[in-house]
This record gives sequence, C-alpha cells and structure tokens, in this order.
Amino acid sequence: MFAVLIKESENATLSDFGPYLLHWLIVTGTMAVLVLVVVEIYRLATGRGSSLRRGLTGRLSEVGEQDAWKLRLYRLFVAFIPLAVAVALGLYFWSLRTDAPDIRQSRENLALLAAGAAGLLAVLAVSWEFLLDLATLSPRRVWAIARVSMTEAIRRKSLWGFVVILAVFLFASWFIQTDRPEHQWRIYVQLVFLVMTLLLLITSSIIACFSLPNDIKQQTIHTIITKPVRRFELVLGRIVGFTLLMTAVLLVMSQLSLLYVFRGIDESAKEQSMRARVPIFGSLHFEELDSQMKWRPTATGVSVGREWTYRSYIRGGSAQEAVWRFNRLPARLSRSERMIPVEFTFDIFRTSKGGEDYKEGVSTQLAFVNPNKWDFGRYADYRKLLESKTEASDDPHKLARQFGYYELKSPLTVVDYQTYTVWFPSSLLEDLGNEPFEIRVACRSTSQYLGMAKADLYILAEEGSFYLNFMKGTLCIWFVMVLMITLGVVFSTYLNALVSLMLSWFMLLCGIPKLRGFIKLVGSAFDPDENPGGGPMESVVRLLQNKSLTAPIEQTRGIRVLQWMDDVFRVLFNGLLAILPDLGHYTRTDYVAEGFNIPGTELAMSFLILVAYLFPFLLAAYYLLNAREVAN
Amino acid sequence: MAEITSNSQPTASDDIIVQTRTLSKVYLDFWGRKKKQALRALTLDIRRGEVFGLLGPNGSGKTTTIKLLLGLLFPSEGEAWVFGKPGTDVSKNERIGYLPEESYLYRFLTAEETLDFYGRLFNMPADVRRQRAQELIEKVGLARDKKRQLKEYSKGMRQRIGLAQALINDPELIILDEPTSGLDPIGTRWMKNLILELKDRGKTVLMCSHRLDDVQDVCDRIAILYEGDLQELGEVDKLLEIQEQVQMRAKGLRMTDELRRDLESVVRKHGGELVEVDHPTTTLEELFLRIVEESKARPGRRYLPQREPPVVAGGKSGA
Repeated sequence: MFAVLIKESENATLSDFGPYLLHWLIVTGTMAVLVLVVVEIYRLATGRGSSLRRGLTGRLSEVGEQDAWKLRLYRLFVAFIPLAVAVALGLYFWSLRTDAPDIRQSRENLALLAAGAAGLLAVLAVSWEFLLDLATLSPRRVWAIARVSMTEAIRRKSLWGFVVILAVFLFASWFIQTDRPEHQWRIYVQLVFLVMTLLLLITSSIIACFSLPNDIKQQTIHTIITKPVRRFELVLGRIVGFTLLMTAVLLVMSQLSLLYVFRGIDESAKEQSMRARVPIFGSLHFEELDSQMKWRPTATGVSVGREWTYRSYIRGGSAQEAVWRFNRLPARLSRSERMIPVEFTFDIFRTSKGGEDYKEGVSTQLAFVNPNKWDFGRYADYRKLLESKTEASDDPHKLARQFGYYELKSPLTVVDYQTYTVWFPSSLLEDLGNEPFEIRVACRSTSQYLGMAKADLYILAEEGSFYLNFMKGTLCIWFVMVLMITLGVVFSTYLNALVSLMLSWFMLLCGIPKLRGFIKLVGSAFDPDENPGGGPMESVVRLLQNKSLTAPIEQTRGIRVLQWMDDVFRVLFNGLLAILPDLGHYTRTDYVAEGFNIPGTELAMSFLILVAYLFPFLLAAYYLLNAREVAN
Repeated sequence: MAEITSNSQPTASDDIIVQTRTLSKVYLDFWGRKKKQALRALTLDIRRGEVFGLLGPNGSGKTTTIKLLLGLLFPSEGEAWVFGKPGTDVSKNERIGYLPEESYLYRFLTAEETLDFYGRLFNMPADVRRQRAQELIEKVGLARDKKRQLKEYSKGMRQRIGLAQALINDPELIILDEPTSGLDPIGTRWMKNLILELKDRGKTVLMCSHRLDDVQDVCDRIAILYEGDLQELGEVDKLLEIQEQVQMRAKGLRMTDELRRDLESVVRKHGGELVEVDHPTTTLEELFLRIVEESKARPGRRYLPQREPPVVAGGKSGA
C-alpha cells in the first residue's frame, strides 16, 4: 500500500481566521485607501468638488434629510483612517525603541491591530454605498435573473461540452495501465478530478464571460435596467444562476465519475484505497544524543543532497532520532483501553547495498513516549520487563502505565514509500498533563538514511466516510468554479467577452500554487539561499555579464539604479500577488486520491477565504456597471 | 415654447411627468475626444395624460433623449427628471414602461415566460403576475402563440410582446421608441389605436418616430429635433393649422360647374379666392385596411369599391 500526503505548506483552518482576517483587512484596506486617494484627486482635478462632501460616487449626496446619517457615517470612516494609520505607525516606531523581544512583539501586534482597524475603515468607506445598496436588493429580482441565466445556458445548448466527459469515461481505461493495484485508484481519481475541473471551468468561464457582453451587444439589457432593477442585481443574478446550474452539472458529473472509478478499479485496490483516514498530524523535529548523553534538538535532519528539500533524513545506526510531538490530542483517544493505530511512510536513501538487498528494507524502531512519566534512564528496566516472559510483558497497557513508554518489541523492516501501520496502547496517553505526546523514530540499519517529513507519520484517529470525502473533494472544485464564474461576470461588466475570458484564465493560471510561488520568488528580496541572483533587472545584468547567481556584483551607479528598479518590480509583483487568487486554498484532490479525510474546518476556512477574495471584485463590478453607459 | 423655463430644479408639480433642462449629450471616443454632439441644451416638459412625440430624421437625438431619461446614458450637461427624479434613479422605473425600437427581448423565452420574467423584475407576486400576463397576451393577440419561443416570432409579433412587457406594471408613463417601425399597415394601425386607448385611460405617452403620419395621428404635442437641436415645440393641431386658408366639407353633393360657380361667388363676396373644390381622397392606409377587412369578412371575393366600407375602429385620420 502506498499513501503519502505531500503537505509542503499548511492549509488554513478556522483557527487561523483571526490572522487571515487581519491580513485581508490590511491588504484590502491599502487598496481601498489608494482608490479613495485616486477618486479624490480625480474629483478635484475635474472640478467636481471633494467626494468627502458628496460620498464616494456622489450618489450619497442624493439622499434625503432622513438618510443624512449615511453621508455622516461615510465622512466619519474617512476621517478616522488617517488617525488609525498614525496610531499604527506610532506603535510600530515605539516597538523599535525596545530591545526586549517580548515587548517589541506585543507592540508590533498592537501596531498590526491598528493597521487592521485603518484597513477596516477604508474598506467600509469604499464599500459604504455598495453595502447600503445591498440592503435594498430584491431576492425575487435576483432569482428572476438567475432563472433566466440558467434557461439561457440550457436552451442555447451551452452544456453540450459535457458530452466530452463521456468520451473520457468510455476510452480512458485503454490508456490507464498500472503495475500495482493501489496505483490504479490514485490515477483514476486524479483523472476524473482533472476532467471534471477542466470541463467545468471551461464551460463556466465561457457562459460567465459571454452573458453580460451579449446582453449589452444585443441590447436585451435595455429592457431589464429600465425596470426597477439595481444593476448589481444583474451581476448577482448572473452569478447565482450560473453557479446553481453548474453545481447541478458538477453533482451529476461527480456521481458518474464515482461510478466510473468503482467499475474501473480492481477489488483488491478498492479495499486498500477507498478510505478516508482522519489523521492527527504532529510537529516534526530531530534530536541527537550529544557527548553528555543529552538529547539535543535540531530543526532539520541530515541533508542527503536531494534538490527537493521536503524531507529530512536520519542516519542509520546513529543516535539520531526524528521526533513527532502531538499537542492537545483529543480526549476520546484515551477514553477506553485500546491500541491506537499510527501510520507512516518513509523515503529511504541508501549509501550502500550493505548486507541488505534492495527489497529487504531498512530496520526502523518506533518509540511512543509520555514525557510526563518517562525517564530515559529507565530504558534498561523497560527492556528487561518487556523481554521477560511475564504477564506484564504481554500487557502493553500495564507497561505503558508503569513507564509512560512503549516501543515495538522488535524493529520493523521498512521499504521505500510503503505505508505501514503500528499500534500503541491508549493508556500511554493517561496523565499527559500539558506535555506533548511524542513518537520517536530511529533508523537501525547502518549506512542507510531514512527520510521523513511532517506529514509522513500520523496518528489515525478514525476512518471517515469515503463517499463523503469524495464529495468534499468535489466541493473544492466547486470553490474554484464559483471563483471562475464570479471573475468572469465581474470582468465582463466592463470588458468585452473575449478579453474577460482571457483575463479570467490568466488570473486562474497564475493562481496555481507553483506559478504563484514563482511570482513570489520574483517579488522577493535578494536572498543567497531562497532568491540568489536578485530581481529581474539584476538577473539580466548577470546574464549579459555571464556571472553566476552567487557571484558578487560590482556596485556601480548603473547597478544601483537597476536594483532600485528591482525594488519597484518587487512592489508591483507583491501587488499582483495580492490580486491573484491562491488556488492552493481550494486544491484537495490529493487527499481523496491518497485516502485522507479533508477536514471540515479547512473547507469552512477555504469558503471564507473565497468570499473574502471575491468581495473586492464584486465591489469593483458594482461601481463599474453603475458607472457604465450601457447604451453607448 | 411658452413652457420652457430656465429653472435648474424640477418643478414640484404632479402635472408635469418629464422635465429636461439644457439637456446635452456629447459622445466621446476612447481618448475622451468629442465624437458627436447628439443633443444640445434640450429643455422641455411633458404633462400628465398627453401623447408627446419626438420627431426628427435619423440621428437627430430622439433616441438619445429617451435613453437619457431612462438612465441608459448619462447627460454631458443639464439634467433630466422623470416623476421628479433624476434619470439615473432606479425607483422611478416602477412607474415607467419602455418599448425600445427593436424589441430587445430574450429570444429563447416564450411569450408567457417573458412576461413572467419582467413581472418578477417589478417584484410582483406570482398570482398578480400570472393574471396580468394572461390579460396582456390576450390584449396583444398572442394567445395562440404564447408557448412558442420568441425566436420563432415575426417582427410584428415581437413588437406586440415587446409592448406587452412595457405594460406589465400598468405604468403611468409609457416610452415608445419608433413603435411602428417595421410594422405592416395593420400592425401600425393596431399600435396607434393602442396608444390612443392608453391616452384615454389617462396614461402619458412619450414616443419618438420619424414616421410623420403616425405622429400626426396620435400625438397631442410634438418636439421637432434636428441634429441635436430643438427646432419646434407645440400642439400638433396648432402647428399644422394654415391660418390664411379655410377648409369646408359637405355631404350629399356631386361636383358640378354650377356648384363651383356658386361657391366662387360666396368666397369672393367675403373677400377670398377659391383655390380648390374637389372630391376628397382617402389615404392609401385607409384603402388598404378596408380591403383587408373586406377580404376577411367575405373570403374568396374580390374587393368592390362601391360597397359600404366596414367600420375601422378608432383613429383620427380618415376621409
């Protein structure tokens, strides 16, 4: 069995809501301040007076006496922005005046909170008119437009593209040939998720990008917005309509896909793969015994020179161990006396064949530690009792209670990328106190290395429903679909259909984690490890001068100008990153393919991130469509 | 031109439905350069219950005026108010019905679905919507075709369903952009009769057209535009009246030399000069409609001019 979940970065969960909200407020607030400044300069330049008197777009000035509070509140928001910014800057500079890291950190946190408050005020000021209008939206009108959008897509035969999926289902199995049954499942799941995502996104983007421009071109919009329809209702109606339609399509597709996968894979693969493990991941660090026989912690293990630095390695036959710590394990694990499963999958790096054949594997010992009870000085007693043929040695719970320690009777032979399950007694978790539970891994085979990453070992808390997990994976596709539909409709409020389509796809492709990572790299400062060679301009100079990435570059005036231009690039690229979506928040196909449960809190957070990401775009659509002369 | 005032605020009067003050529209290109002055300083009032016609050749600014009133375009200068609210105010649309020049409706919907959709946009409850849609479908004569998608409709049928959607909210002000364009004489007559019926029900109608006969037939007042400028504004009858001539009509007479001589002497006695005495002619429209009615009443029979013409309902024009 092969099941590895590669987690290069942590997914956000609901517990990260606070920091994410603060970050969003600061980034979106900065953009909002820019908008306010530009609008103000434009108004003053065109002689239309200040927007402070009239509200952002001037429509607030049309309110009657009884609604004057709307304008007053708007002014209040704007007035308090500079105040909050000043407080944030003051706190930040105050934090620089101390050397105590704790005090500095707390002052920096306060500065961030003040910046967040400034961001909130700016977002409120810019979206004030929008928020007020939201309250007047009519669900019936939005639903009417949504219904028409659905009818339009169906009657114009926009959904015919989905026939393609039938072709995939009919013929794909000809090309899927695997040597091992467990690979079958992974390939089938990845295939159906890829096909579903591509088909859904292509269709969604086309219907979303062409709907409003078609309305404007064919002038059907004239008979709609001359009714008491808020223009934003048109945007919202379109988004809701297309989303509902494509959700129905996605549901049908997911069930067909599941059926296809069921029929396609072998019975043996089904048993092994159709799982939804609920893992509890710990934090990983490495420890080594020093000359005084004390465990010395290190953040990483040994590097075996692999370019992909995801895994760290421990030397075989050495006093080096990998340690997973689990904080706050759920109480239900230790409620009854039972053996708790732990699964792991390691990578093996061999420096010699040694006495072991390739297939024989590497000897690995796992130890489970309750640090509140265990003392390494008692190891000899523990082994003695374990090896004695007494009642105590046969009852793991008794041993665990007595020593707060449990290890496998004999080391396990581990093969490259094979998933193993071992069990430890639940009684080990009793009397943990505030200490973290530890799982320690040691490699016993001399001259071999065992590679591991944080997600390679986990406590298997329970088995979730496979079907539900598959649907959770489908929900992640739904998130991306909603993102695409919304972006398409929003762009098409101002741009023509083809440009909207290209822009939507550009945004989506740049949101793929690998591409985002590249943009992040271009937008990051010079760093000898992470970003050698500097920014784009400096890189060009290095290319032309035939200099290596790490060679020092002569600091002439010209180079300094170019480096300054790199600084400008950095600001631009970081700005671009803030605008681009991060599809990493919504991609969970690996979880389903590898048989891991997708945590509900991650899904909830993904949804919140999606809403927060789309909010500024919806706001832009609101202003753009309201400012547009649809008959021109 | 007496109603033109220089106020910059809407007159607080229930009687005046539409007001424009120095309303101007300049179309700009992408770079903000002036492309065309479509409307220049238009000032006019439209009163409750009248049929008002905007008249002018193509490109004179008629449709631009209507689009400015409806908020489909924004004024470059000046202001437009409907029911005392600016053109961009959505709430005024509750009381307006608009029929664009081409009936720009979703062609994949049936007539019933179309009216239901527009009814929903007015937030009408389902039972009211259904009842109103059925009434209007009957009224515009599409009962037999209500289940067909609009893409199968002829131009005239689309104009009829277009008018039905404009009336779905029983509006106080109906704005019709070239309502008879592309219609055959029967459709044109039907449309004109409907406009007059709306007027009888106290509705205000603003229509624009370059079909002079249509405007003359139904409008109480007109404004004539040319290249964006208001050239004339007033009541149709007064504008068309020829003060220095007198027209007389008589029944039961045949034209003879003796009759002509007698009439000449009467006219001369009063200091005038007889210009023309003749049998009046009917319009081609009247003749066409009479033939169609006759053929409908007696299928397969050829039209005989000496027969008594069937009565054509409504209409101001006639022999």
